[in-house]
Amino acid sequence: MNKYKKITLDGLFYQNPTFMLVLGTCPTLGLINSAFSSMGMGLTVLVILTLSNIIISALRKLIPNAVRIPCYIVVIATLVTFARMFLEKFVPSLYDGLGGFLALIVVNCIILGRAEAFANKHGVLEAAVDGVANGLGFTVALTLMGIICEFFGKGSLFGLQIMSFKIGMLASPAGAFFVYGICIAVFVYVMDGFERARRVKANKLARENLLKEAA
Amino acid sequence: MTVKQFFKSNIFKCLAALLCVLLVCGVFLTIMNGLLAVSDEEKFQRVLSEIYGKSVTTKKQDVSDKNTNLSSAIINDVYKVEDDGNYIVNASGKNGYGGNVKCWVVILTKPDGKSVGGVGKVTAPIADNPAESFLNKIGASVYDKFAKDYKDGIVYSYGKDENDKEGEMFVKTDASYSMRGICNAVNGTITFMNAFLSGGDIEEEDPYEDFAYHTLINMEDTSWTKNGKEITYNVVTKGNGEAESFKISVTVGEDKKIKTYAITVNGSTFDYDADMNPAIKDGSLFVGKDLEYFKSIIGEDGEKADDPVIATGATKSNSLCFAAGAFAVANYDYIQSLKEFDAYIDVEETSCTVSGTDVIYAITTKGNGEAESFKISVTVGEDKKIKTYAITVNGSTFDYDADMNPAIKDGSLFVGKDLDYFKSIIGADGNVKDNAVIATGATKSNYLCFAAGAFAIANYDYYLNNAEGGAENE
Repeated sequence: MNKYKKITLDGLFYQNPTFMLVLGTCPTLGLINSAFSSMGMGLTVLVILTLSNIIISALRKLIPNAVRIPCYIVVIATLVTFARMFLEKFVPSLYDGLGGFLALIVVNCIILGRAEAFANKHGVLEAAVDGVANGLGFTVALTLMGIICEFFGKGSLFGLQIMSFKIGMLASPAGAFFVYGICIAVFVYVMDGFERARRVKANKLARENLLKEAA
Repeated sequence: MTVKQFFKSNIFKCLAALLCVLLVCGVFLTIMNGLLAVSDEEKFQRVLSEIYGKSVTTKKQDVSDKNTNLSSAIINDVYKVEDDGNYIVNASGKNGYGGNVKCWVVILTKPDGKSVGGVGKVTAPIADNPAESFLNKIGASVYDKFAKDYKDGIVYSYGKDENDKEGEMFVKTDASYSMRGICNAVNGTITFMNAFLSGGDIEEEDPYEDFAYHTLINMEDTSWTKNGKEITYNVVTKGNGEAESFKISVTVGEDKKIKTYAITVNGSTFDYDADMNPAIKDGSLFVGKDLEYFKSIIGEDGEKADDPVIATGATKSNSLCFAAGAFAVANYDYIQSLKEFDAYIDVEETSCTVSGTDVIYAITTKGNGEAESFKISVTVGEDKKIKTYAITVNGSTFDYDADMNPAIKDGSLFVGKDLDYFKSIIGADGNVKDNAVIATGATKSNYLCFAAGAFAIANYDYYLNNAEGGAENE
């Protein structure tokens, strides 16, 4: 399989940071009562993750191993501070919506995790693809849960009131935890199904090849 | 290691790499801050456009001659909107989650323009309140309630009160303490604007009105400890003109004269320190002085500042030192009569008798969250230790009674304990409520029992003299 395709599929599905690795849980539980905030957080993380992966990958041969973590943290903190300034200036509504969770991106384990596990071992292009894929995986997962929580918890979608019926608990962090758990279960179940189907197909192909060779 | 070896070593490489990364990041952020920083004017324009949805003309009002530091809020700026005649007030509501909550409040006026006729839009920008972590939980519908619920004389209380209780107006926001700050901002704004529009004074109750000579004293930061018949004050003054706040330690004896006086922080600025009266600076002028002396220098109202003892070239600083001394001697009797650890005690319902050197209390506590009032009988002996302790009415509700610490419930934990023990559990000011001895699942009930014990010991001297059978009543 093409390596970029593999990196992309890993970030989006097989190693989805939210549903498979259960990383970045703090903003997930704190923000998914609003689809807009969830998507905003996801996109912000996507940009920061991609940029941090690129910078760390580019600097990987220059930074001594002993001080790599402090260097990564400084780079990530700089990018997050820049993102804060940018959002406050140009997208104040999103800046307000994200609140304290925006600054907390500095310690988001997805970003430091990808820097440590991937970016410092791969080239710039691969690191960039990994950042985009993981960021997209996080964004889609957060937005999906944001839609569910906001729709059932507040009766609205992206701030637009749709119905008066609501289950208030789903708009709280406790409800978010509940929705998060259900989503993980469904995602893992679907991914298991795909994996099983893929294995069955591969076994069938291997058996047919063996039979052909035997004949 | 030689210099050459150092520059070739891994230590140098690590240092250089870290410093380079820091330098580049620092320069980058400095440039970005210059390009992207949001100015106060821009923030104000955003607030205006959020409120009005269009550009409006505003005129800043002069409030320099008004008291802008109210008990509930600090009024930062007042603007008049020329387009509709309303006012926009920037106020910092006290007692939020992480301190003061900065809000913008639109005030509508009555037709005569002499008083507040309503509250318009209220907003608390997250950018202005970084310490209010959950501010984004407060939705527009909650802010709209200020306008909907307004009526003359209203005092908003949507958040939780000081005792964690929900008032009648409480609305669930998931940010109750930030909401308390916002309510304080709106309440303070209404009070201020009523005074501003009518040209009158702000009518606020002075919580310290029972204290004499406190005009120049920062009452929130000033503290005292009673040691038998002596009182030791840690007085913190307010600023006074060029002079900033002084911190002064004063001890007043039974004869209501100053025993010791020491300036611990001298608030003089611009070298005025050098012009202070030396006998004031080292405190020797005050030792042995009583209230009559202070009155002769600073007058009955404490505002006289032309006495040669004070007017030495550092009048403001000298005045503050005199104010601290006058405060200490003038309030001796009042402070001796104040009860300690009484925040959770219903003093009106609490009675006390003296038998020999024992003080026998029948304490009634206030409620505390889910826990209702307890009635507790406590005897404190001459050594200021608890001799007997028995709960006569247990105020626990919802079966919390079962979760109470058994040794608290039967009182055995308290027998033989002195005030230091209570302070080690609930803190010197009684504000620690999560000690493991208390947090057994019935924290509120356990705390009330501790509060009663601390109250009984801390006020032993007072009740020994003043209660039925006590020295003063014999």
